[in-house]
Amino acid sequence: MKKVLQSFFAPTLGLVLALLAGTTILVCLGESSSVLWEALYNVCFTDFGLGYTLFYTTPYLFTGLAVAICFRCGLFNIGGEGQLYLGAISVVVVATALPGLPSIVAVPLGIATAFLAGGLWGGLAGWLKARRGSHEVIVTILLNFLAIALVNYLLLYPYDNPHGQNPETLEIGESYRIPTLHTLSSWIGMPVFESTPANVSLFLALLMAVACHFFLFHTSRGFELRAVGQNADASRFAGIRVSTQTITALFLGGGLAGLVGVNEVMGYHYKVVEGFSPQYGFTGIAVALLARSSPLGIILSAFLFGILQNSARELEFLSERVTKELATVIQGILIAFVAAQYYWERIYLHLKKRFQSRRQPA
Amino acid sequence: MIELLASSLRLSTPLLFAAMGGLLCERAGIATICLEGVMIMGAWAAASVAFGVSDPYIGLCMGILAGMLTMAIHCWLCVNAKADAIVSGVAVNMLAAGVTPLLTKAFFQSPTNTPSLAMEDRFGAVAVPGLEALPVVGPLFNQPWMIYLALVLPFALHYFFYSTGRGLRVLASGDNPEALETAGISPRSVRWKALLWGGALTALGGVYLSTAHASQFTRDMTAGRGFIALTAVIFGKWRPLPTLGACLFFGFFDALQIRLQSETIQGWEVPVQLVQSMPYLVALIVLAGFIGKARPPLAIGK
Amino acid sequence: MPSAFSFTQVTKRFGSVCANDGVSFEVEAGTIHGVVGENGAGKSTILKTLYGLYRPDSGDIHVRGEKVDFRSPQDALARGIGMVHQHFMLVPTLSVWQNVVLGEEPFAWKPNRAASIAALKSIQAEFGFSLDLDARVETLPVGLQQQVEILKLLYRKADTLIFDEPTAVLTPQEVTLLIERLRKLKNEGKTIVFISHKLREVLTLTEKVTILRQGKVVGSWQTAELDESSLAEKIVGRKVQPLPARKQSAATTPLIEVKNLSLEGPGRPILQSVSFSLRPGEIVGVAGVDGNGQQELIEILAKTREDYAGEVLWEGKPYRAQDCYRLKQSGLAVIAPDRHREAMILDFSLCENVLLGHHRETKYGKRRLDWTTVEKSTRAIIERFDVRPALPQAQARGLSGGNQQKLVIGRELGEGVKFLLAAHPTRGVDIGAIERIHSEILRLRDAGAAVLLFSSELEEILALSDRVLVIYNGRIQGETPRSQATETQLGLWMTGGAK
Repeated sequence: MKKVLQSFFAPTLGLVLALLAGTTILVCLGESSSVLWEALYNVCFTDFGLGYTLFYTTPYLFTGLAVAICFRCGLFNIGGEGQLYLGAISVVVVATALPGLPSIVAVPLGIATAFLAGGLWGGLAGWLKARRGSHEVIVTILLNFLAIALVNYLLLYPYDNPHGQNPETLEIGESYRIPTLHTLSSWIGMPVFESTPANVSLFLALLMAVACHFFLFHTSRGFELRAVGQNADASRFAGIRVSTQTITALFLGGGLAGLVGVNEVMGYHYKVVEGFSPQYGFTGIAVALLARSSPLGIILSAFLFGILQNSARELEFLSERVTKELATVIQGILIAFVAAQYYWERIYLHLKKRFQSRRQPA
Repeated sequence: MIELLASSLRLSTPLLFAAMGGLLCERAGIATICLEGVMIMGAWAAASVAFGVSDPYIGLCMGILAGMLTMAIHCWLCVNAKADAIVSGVAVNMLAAGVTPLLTKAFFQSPTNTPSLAMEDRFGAVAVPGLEALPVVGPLFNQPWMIYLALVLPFALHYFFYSTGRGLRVLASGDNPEALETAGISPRSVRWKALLWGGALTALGGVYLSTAHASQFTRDMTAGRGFIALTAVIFGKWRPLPTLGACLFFGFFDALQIRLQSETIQGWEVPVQLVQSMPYLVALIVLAGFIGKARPPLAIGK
Repeated sequence: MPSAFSFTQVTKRFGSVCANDGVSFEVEAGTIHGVVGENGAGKSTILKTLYGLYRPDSGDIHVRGEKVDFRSPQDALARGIGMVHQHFMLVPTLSVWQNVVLGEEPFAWKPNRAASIAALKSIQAEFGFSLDLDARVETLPVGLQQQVEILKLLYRKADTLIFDEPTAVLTPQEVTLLIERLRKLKNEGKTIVFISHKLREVLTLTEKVTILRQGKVVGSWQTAELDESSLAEKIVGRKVQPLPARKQSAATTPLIEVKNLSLEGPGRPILQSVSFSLRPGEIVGVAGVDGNGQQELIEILAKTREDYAGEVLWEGKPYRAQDCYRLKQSGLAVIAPDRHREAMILDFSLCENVLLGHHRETKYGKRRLDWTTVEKSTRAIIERFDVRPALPQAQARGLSGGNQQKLVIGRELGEGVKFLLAAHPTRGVDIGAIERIHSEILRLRDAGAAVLLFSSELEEILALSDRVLVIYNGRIQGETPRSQATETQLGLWMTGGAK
C-alpha cells in the first residue's frame, strides 16, 4: 500500500505542477485564467467536448502503449510519429487497391494493414538495433523524418486527391469505414457525441491496453520481453535471445502506433491529410511515462492527455493570445517532472521522516 | 561546383556548432538528444532580440543565454534529479518546440515566424582579405564570420580534450565518474560546466540559422539538424576532428539536396519530398552500416 | 610510536543495516596494519569513512592526533590519506599518466604531458616502479593497473595508504611482489593499512591486526601472537566445520567434452584450442587470473554465445545443435559469474527471479504463466535454503548478497541436474552461506552430477575440486589431480609458466 502511494506521488505531483505552470504561462501571456476553466469545462462536461476528448484519447492510448511496450523491453521508441503516419497511409493504399471488399473483410484487413505497416517500420528500427548495433533513439527519430517525407510524397503524387483543398489522399471506400460512437449509440437509441469524430476504434484501443497487460504479465513471451528490459545479460543467461526481443518489442510498438491510422483514416477523415497528427507519437512518451509504462494505467493517462490536447485546441478558439502549442509545453513540463522522480521521491521520504519524527518525539 | 561547396560549408556550420556542443556534453557523460531544442531556443532568442534592439550581437548573446538556460534544465534533470538523459532530452525538446511558437505569438502576433531582420541586423559576409580575391575558390572566403569560427572549433576542442587538464577531467567524467570523484573532483560540477558550455555552442548553431543563414526565426527551422548533429558525433566516434568531417559530409548532402530540388534527371522531375529526406537517409545508412562498433563514453548508456 | 589515525566509537548505518557499530581502534604511523574480517564485517566501510567517502553517523576520527571531519576524498588526500579500492578507480580509456595526474594536473589550460611525465619519472625512480606512462590503462594487466593506483597516491604525497582486498585479483606470484612492494613502502616511512580476509597474507605481511565481526571490533593483536587457526576462530567467532569426506566417482564415460574450442576477440584470440572433458560425479575446478578467457568459456558453456570454433559435446551430441531450453531440460544448471548482472534481475520479485530461465517449462504453464505454481516453487526454495526475508513478492534488490545467491542456487539446483556450471558461487557471500553452498555442490557431485567450478579463490578450488585446470591467456596451461596440486605450481601456470 505504501509502495502504491509512493508510486502515485511523483506522477500526481508532476501533473498538478505542470497544470499550474500551464496556468501561469496563460496568465503571463495576458489571458485570464477563467478561460482555462471554461475550456476545461467544455472539454470534460459537454457532450460535444467529451466526444472530441475521447477522439483524442484513442491515439494517445495507441502511442502510449507503443512507447510503454518498448520501455518494458528497455527501448526508447521515439518513432511513433513515423509509424502512425505509415499505418494511416497503408490503409489508404490497401483500400485503393482492393476497393470492392465487403465490410466484414475490409475492416479487419484495414486494421491488420495499419498494424503491420507501423510494425514493420518499428521492426526495421529493431533490426538495425539488434543486428547493426545502431542506437534505437536516433534511428527512430531519423525514421520519423523519412516516413513523413514518404507519406507526403504519396499523398501529393500517386494518391493525390485532385479535388481536395489540402494536400490529401483519395477517400477510402464505404466498406472500410468504421462507425462513429454517435452512429453506434443511435442504433441502441441513446445518441451521444453528435457530430464528433469519436469512433469505435476507442474500443480497439482499450482492448489493446488489456491485451498488452495480459501479454506482459501473464505470458512467458511477455516475461521474456520484460526480463530483457530489466537486465539483458541475465536474460541471456536465462536462454532468452535479446535481439529477438528487441525486434519483437519495436515491432509491437510500431504496430500499436500504426493503429492510430485506424482512428484517423477508418474512423474520421476517411483519407490521410498532410500533417494530421499533432505529435501523437511524441506525446505517447509522456502518456507512457505518466503511467509508468503500465498498460492499464495508460488508459487513465491517455484520457488525461485527451483532455489536455482538446483543451489546448479549445483555448485556441477562446483566446486571441494562445496557440495550441500550450499543450506541448505542458507535456514537456510534465515529462520533466516525472523524469525527476528520484528527486520527488527523496522529498517524499524526507517529508515522511519529518512527519513521523514529529508524531513520536524522541 | 564551387557554389555547391560554399553552400555545403554554410549548411555544415549549424551542424558543426551543435555537434561540438553535443560532443562536449556527451564526453562529460550526459547523452544529449536535446540538441534540437537548444538550437531552436537559441535561434528564436537571437532573431527576436536582434529584431527588438536592432543589434545582431546582443541577439547573439541572448541566443547563447537562452541555449545555456535550456541546457541547464537538461543538466539539472540529469545530474541533480538523476533523470534518464533520453527522457529529459525529450522533455527539453518538447518544451522548446512548444514555447517558441507561444512566445512568437505573444510578441509578434504570428505563431509561425518572427519578423524579418534588416540586412544590417544580420550577420553578413565577411571577406578574408587576400583570399577572397582568389580565382575559383574565392567565394569560400566571403562568408559570415560564424562559419570561420565553426571551422576552428573542432581544433580548439581537440586541443582542449587531449592536452589540457580541464579537458582531461571532462573525459574522465564521461568514462568513469567514480574515478574522478575519488581523485577529489566532483563529476557533478564538471558536468555542469561542460553542459553549460555545450549549451552555448549548440545555441550558436541556432543563432547562425536565424540571424546569418536566414533573416528570421521560422517554426521548425532547425528541421532535425540537432539529431543530424548527434549522428555526426556518433559517426565521428565522439572525437572532434572526425566529427568535423562528418558534419561537412552531412552539410554536403544538405547542399546537394537543395541543388537537386530544381533538377530533372532524364526528364523525370525528382519529387521534392524524396530529395529533402536525403540527409536523413544518409544519416541512417551511416548509422546502420559504416561506423562499426563505436564506443560511446562509458558512463552514457547507464 | 605516534598514531597515524584512530577511530573512536564510529557508527555507520545504511538504512536498517548497521555496517559499523561503535568501532574504535588505532593505527600507528610507519607500520603495516591488517584489518580483517568476513565479508560484510564492515572492514571496507570503516576505512571508507576515513577516506571521506562515507560520513560516520556518530563517533570521532583523529588523524595524527587531530580531530577531522572529512566530507570528500579530497579532504582525506589533503591530510595524506589515500586508498586503493577493491574495484580500481581508473579511467580505462586514458593513459597511465593521465590517470595519475587526474584531479591534480600540473596545468589547467596548458598541455600537461611533459610536466606530468617528468614528475612521475622521479616518483617511479624513488619507489622502484617501471610503468609505461603512455600506455592506455585498459591494455594493462590487473597487477600493473594496481600499480597505477599506488602511483596515484604517491603522486598526491599520501603517507597513509589503505589497500582494500588488494590480493583478490592477483596471482600468487603477483601477491608476493605486492607484499615486497608494500614492505618497501613501509621502509620509506609510509603507513600501510591492509584490508583482507586471507589469513596467510595477513600473517606474513602485517605487524598488527584488528579483527572486525558483524560491524564490531573483536580486538587488536600483535600479529606475532596469532597463528592461522586462532585468527580464523576470532574472525568467524566459532570453529569452522571441515568439509565432509567424499566418495570416489566411478563413471568413466565423459558427460561433457570440449574439443578445440577457439574464440577470436578484437585483435587477439580469447580462447585458443581449449580441450577438456568432464565425467559424471566429478568436480573440475578452473583456476586462473580473471580475464584470461574464463568469462567467454562460461558464456559458451551456458549457451549465451555461438560465435566459437571447435565443439562442445553433451553425451556425444553437439551443443550447438540444441537450444538453451532443451539443454536446461536435459539437466544444465548455471550459476552465472556476476550475480547482479547475470544471475538475477534485481528489480524483479523473488518469484520472477525463480521463474527466470524456467519460464517455458510446462509446469509453469509454458505460454500462459501460472503464477500460483511459481509462488509455490519460490516458497519451497525459500524454505529449503533459508532465504530471508521470506517474501516471494519482495524485490530481489532488498536481499543481502548471501540470500540472493541462495535464491539463485535454489533455482538452479532443482531436480535432475546433470551438469552444473558454477562460476564464483560464493563471491561476496558470508561464511555461513558459503558452507551451505559448498555442501550443496558436493551433494550434487555425490549424486552423480558433473560440476565445472570457476573461482578466483584458489582455496575454494582446492577445497572442492577433484581435478584442477589452469587457464592462462585463453589456453589450458596445466591440469592436475587435486591430490598433486600445489599452490606454487598452480600459481606458476596462472602466470603462463612452463607446463
